[in-house]
Amino acid sequence: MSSRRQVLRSLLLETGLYVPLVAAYFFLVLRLLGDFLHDCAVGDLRLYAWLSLIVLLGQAILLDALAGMIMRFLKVRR
Amino acid sequence: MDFAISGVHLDPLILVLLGFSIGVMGGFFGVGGSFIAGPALFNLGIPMNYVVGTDLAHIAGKSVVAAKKHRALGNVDVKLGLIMTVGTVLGVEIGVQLIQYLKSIGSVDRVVGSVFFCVLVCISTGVFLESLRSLKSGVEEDRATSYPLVRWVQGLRLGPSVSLPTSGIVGISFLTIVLVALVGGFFSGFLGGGAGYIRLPMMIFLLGVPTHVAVGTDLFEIVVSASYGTFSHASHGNVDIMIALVMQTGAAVGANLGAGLTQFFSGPRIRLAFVPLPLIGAVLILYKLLKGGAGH
Repeated sequence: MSSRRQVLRSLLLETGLYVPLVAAYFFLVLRLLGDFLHDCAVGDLRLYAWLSLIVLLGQAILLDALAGMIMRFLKVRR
Repeated sequence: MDFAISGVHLDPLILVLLGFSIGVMGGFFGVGGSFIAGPALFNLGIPMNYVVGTDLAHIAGKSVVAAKKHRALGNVDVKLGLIMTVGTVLGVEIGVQLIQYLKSIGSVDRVVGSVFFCVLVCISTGVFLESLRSLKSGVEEDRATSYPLVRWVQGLRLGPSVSLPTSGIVGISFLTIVLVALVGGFFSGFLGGGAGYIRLPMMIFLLGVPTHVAVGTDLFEIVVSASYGTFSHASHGNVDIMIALVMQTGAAVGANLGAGLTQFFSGPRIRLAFVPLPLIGAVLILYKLLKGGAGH
């Protein structure tokens, strides 16, 4: 198999593994955090601002760690 | 689904798909993607003050991860980045206050939309001309440091002078660096996103920072401007964090795919493929402005 096809195959495989995990997480976030963050936005904007920053940066780091984990897993399996 | 914070009704799948597309573009072209995210959110009926604040929030998360990777590669001039922070924070705050003023007089959609449109057309034209030149000459070397403009800027004596060994700059005015950062910060706070489209060329063609260091340091600055901008805009009620979170999940998937696809194309061709994207954003903004803004 050519290297291009191999790269494309592993990319699609990574995405295929990543999508269901992220989708599950996404519905969890919507369910658990939605009302709480809305209440904060209405009640205390300063607290809402801090929470927004923490949640966003936290989510980004978490998703990056997940992507890294999947890539390591695939390297082992390839 | 209702996004109660901004008071808009949107299908979350559209946001995930939007985030995914921006992620693919971001990974492929190495940009934040606010040139498409902002206009697209505006077209979905989100008021411009929420578009700016929410786009900044979405960029903040992505840029932390990207900056971390560039720091590991040694592409961040930490000293330059820390000096720029002064101007960046000041610029973002000016942008945020201007948005607040425009919000108070009911002109935020029209004014920000028009400025956004002009900036997007300028980016597209600039990248088009630059990539054509690169394709014609066939060279992509880092020659900016020898430009007369760079030598003139580095020769300016405005206040104290600092040396930047990581960037190979012997001496440059502290105030010049702060001013460059202030302009980038202003665009970030006023239009949303990281404003790398204005900061990066200024760092290369005015300050004379080598391209690979400029890219890493610009990402470091985007972390500062997007994080501070998110906080400041959220404090003024301009951020719908749920929209940003949903978009970020899609972007995380797309970024991986986009970065992998760069292996199949050369640099100037990638930049040439980028040209229509800001124009698409400009058309989306123009369309919505002609239809009468977000309708709030």
